[in-house]
Formats: sequence, structure tokens, C-alpha cells
Amino acid sequence: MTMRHISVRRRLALLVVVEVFTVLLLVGVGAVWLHKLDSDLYYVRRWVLQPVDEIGAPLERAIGLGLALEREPIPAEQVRADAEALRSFAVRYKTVWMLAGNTSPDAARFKAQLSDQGRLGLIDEEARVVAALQGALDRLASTPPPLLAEPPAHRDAAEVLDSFGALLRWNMAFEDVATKAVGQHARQARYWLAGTGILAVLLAGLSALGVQKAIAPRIARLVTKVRRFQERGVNERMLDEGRDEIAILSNALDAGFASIATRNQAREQFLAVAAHELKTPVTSIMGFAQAALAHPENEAVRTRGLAVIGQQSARLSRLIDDLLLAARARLDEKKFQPQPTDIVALVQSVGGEVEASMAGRRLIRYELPLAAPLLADPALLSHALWSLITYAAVISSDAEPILVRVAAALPCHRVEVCAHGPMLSAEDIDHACSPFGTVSYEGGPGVHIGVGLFFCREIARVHGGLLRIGEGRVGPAFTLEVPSLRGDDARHRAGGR
Amino acid sequence: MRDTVLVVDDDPNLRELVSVVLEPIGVRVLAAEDGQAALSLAEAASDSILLVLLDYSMPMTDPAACVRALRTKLDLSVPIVLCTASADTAQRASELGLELTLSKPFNISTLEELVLRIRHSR
Repeated sequence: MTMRHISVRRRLALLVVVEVFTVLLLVGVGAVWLHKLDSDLYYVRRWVLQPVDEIGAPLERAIGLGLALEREPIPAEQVRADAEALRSFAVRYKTVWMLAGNTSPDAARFKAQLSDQGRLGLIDEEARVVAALQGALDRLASTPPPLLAEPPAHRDAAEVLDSFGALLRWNMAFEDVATKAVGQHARQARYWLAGTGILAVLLAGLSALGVQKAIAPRIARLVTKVRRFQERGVNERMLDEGRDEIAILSNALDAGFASIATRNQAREQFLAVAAHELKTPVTSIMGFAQAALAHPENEAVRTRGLAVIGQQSARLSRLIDDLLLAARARLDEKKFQPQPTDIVALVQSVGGEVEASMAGRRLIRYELPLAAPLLADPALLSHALWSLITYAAVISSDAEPILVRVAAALPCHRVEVCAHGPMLSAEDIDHACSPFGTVSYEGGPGVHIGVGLFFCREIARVHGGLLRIGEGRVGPAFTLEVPSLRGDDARHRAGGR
Repeated sequence: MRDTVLVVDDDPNLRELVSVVLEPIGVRVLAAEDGQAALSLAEAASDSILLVLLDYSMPMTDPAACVRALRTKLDLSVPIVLCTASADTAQRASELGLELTLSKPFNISTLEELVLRIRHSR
């Protein structure tokens, strides 16, 4: 499965997952290191700052005892009381903080830090100092009364003082070790957070870039395509071989634009053919009018000119009506005004009109019943008949008349217009019946012979009938079928409207 | 002497109009409804044809083939004038290798002047 086969929705969902994952990674790493640093702080408070704080008070007391012993003899009870208090602290120190023999996790961690910094010797020093302190305090506590300011007590008091001092220095050294360890952790935390942050940004950025690269250029091409079509009406084919939403949209747009372009082309061709069809009678009208004016003395030219002008004006009027009808049919605006009509009379009338417009040639052969009543819009139906007969006449050779046959029957009357010439291809028929249809006849490439039969088919449809185009015996046959009426039906339905 | 105009057009009114306009000025008019009829007339009257008025859009007639065939029947100096109602007359004339055009609808004086100019130039 290629990238273009992943839907945009899924691709964006994946991007969101990646973004959430990176944020969670960053938050997770941050939380781990915050926990570690918090643990470091607790450890420093518990193992470094607390003993340093607590050593202060006994140290002062030891200093006071030493100074008192130097100045004058003091009662043995006071010495013992001070020694007991100090010994109590020494016991607490040994139990809670002394590393040697301590197997708690914090102690193990502290030993590891000392080991890392090459200062494991401090552990033995601490144990030795604590032992010396306890020995000196034991001796002071057992001093018999009356105590004199004499050397043994002085020495013990001095040793207690030295031991407390050593403990303080040792704890200061430990503070240094612990501070360095915390600092190292803080640096590591920064590196981890920075690394994770960079990784998260890279991951999120690359994911977003991948999505952007897979989507943005195709959307940009779509926008360009739409703009060019809007500005110039040009459809630039752009087949997107993917299967995601953009490919579906792109291919649908492509097909839509191609359809619009084809329709526009058909419309332009239709207008060109319509203009051509309109110019033909105008040429005769203009030419004969000018000829009549140029030769006022020539009665024959004047008479013939007026006749042609009359015929061609009628043809022009029909053509213009055809175009209006075609336009209304496309816009679905035509009005249907049915009334009882005899289609035989209508066929004869329209046939005569077409023959007159064709320079008075006798080009139609009729096979008609006496009458064929129906309920129809005579204006619309006569336009359809005129168009069909003209169409058939134009595609037939001059030498052969076209056949117009009416079959009166129930439920439908049938008007068949048979041309005399080569058959129309199925493609030509489809095209002729399309809204902007024109027909290229077999005689030559690009030879247009009419503005199409779309509105004929529409007129048949609004009458509840249909138009068939098929093959007659000697050429194309156009058959218009419209629902018929019995006489009483016609009167009844016409009266009801 | 070349004094004949061959008009090839499927519209009988146009063929008649050309006769009405040109015959009073001493020009004979031969009228053909399609390419096939035109070739027959051109062959029969090749020595007298002054010019050909050729419609572009006619059923059963390929204008390019018609022009090629007429060239084989007529002297090369006989001009063929494309006479059409198409909007792109010049382009179509160019496609057919023709230099002279007459766009429908035209003034009859334009047709007269064209024929007289060609007659005098020979």
C-alpha cells in the first residue's frame, strides 16, 4: 500500500497519534527526571542537611563544656548531664545517619555516590569518629564527684569537641558529594529532556512533513486547475492515481471539468451552426432585395425577389423560433397550450411552408389519411414538424422527394418523415438529439446541416409522445408519435381546460 | 473568352441570386448543387469559366476534395472564391489554399465588383 492509498482522514489521525505520542514521551521523561530530582532533594535533606543542622546544638554544648572546664572546676553532676545529653545525640547519630553498617536504600545510594567520587574512605572515618566520640562521652559520663578541673576530664572534653568538629567536617564533605551528585543528575535531566524534546520535535516535524508532502502539492495542483478553468475555461487533465479523498476529488473534478468543456465546445459549435443557418436565408433576402432595388425596371426580378424574400423571411422566422424553443426547452421554460388539432392539416401546412422556403421545389410526397385528431399545442407541434421535414429535406438529394406519411390510430398517431440519403450513425443521432446538437453528414467532414433535434424530442415528450430516429427504406426515417384522441374525447378534454 | 461563373452551392436561392446579379452584366452563370455536379460542369465548360464561387458546407461534398478536383479540371489561373456563411471564413479559405473569399450575406455590388475585377484583370 503506497502513501496515496492511505486516506487523508487516516493520515491525519496517524499524525495526531504521533504528536500525542511525542508529547507523552516528553512528559514521561520529564516526570521520571522530576521524580529522580525530587528523590535527590529528599535524600539531601534527610542525609545531608539534617545531620549538619542537628550537629550544631551538641557542638555548642560540647564547646560550652570544654570552655567551662578550662575556666574552673565544675560539679561532676553537670559534666555527667552534659555528657549524657551529648551521648544521646551520638547514639541517635550512629543509629540514623552513620553509614557503616547501614543497609537502608538511601545509605546504599550514598555509598554508591561516595564510590563514584572516590571518597569511600569517609565511611571508615565516620565510624572511627563516632566510636571515639562515644568513648570520650562514656568516660566523661562516668567521672566521679567532685570533678576537678584536671587533665583527664579536659582531655575527654577536648576529644568530644574534636569528634563533633570532625563529624561536622565529614558531613560538610558529604554535602559536597551529595551536591555534586544532584548537580550531575540535574545535568543528566537537562540532557534527557533536551534530547527527548529534539527527538519529539523531529518525530512530529517529520510526520507533519510527510503528510504535508503527500497532500499539499496535490491540493495546490487542484487549486491551479480550478483557477485556470475559472480564468481561461481550459481543462488541464490531471489524473490522480491515488485512492484517497484527494484522488477521488481530483478525478471527479477532472471529469466534471471535461464534461463542462465538452458542453461549452458543443454550445459554441451549436451557436456557429445556428449562425450559419440564420445567414443562409438572410443572404437570399438581402441579395434579392438589393437586386430588386438595383433593377426597378425589371418586373420579373422584382416579383421573384419579393417571393424569395417572403419565403426566406418565413424560414428565418422559423429558425429564430426554433432557437428560442431550443433555449426554452433547455431552460425548461416552454409553455404547453394544448387544443384539438388535426395533425394531417398541420403536416400539409408545414410541408407547404418548407417547400416554399426551398425555392418552391416540389420535394415532399405525402401519404395521408383524411384526418387525425389529437389534443396538441399546434404551435409547438408545427415547429417540430417543420424542423423534421426541413432536416430530412436538407439531407436528401434534390432529385429525390422525401416521404411524409401519417398513420392515424389509437392510442397514438404516427408521423413518419423519410429522407432519401445515407443513414445517420448512432453517434450522429445521439449528438443531434443532445441540447447543443449539430450533425456532420457523411458527405464531408465538418459539414453541418442543422441545429439538431433536441427540441423536437422535447416537444414530443411534452405531448406525451416520443421521437424515433431509425432507418427507412432509402435513408434515415424520423417518426413522431403523439397520443391520439377520438372526436368526443377531444371535445371533452378541450372543454375541460 | 472567359465569361462564365460557376456557382457551387446547395442553396437554390443563392444559385438563382447569383444568376440574377451577374447575367445583367454579361456574365454567364453555371449552377451546381454539389461537388459532383460542379465537376461535370467544369469539365464541360473549362475554357469559358472565369471564376468559381464555392460554398463550404454542402451535403455529400468535401470542400477540400472538391477544390482539388476542380484544380484538375480548370486552368490554374481560374480563381476559386470561397463563399460561406461560416464565422471563420478566412481560416477555412486558408485550409483549402484559397485566397479569395465572399462572406454570406454579401452585398450584390461586392459580388459584381469581384467578378468585374477578375474579368478585367485577364
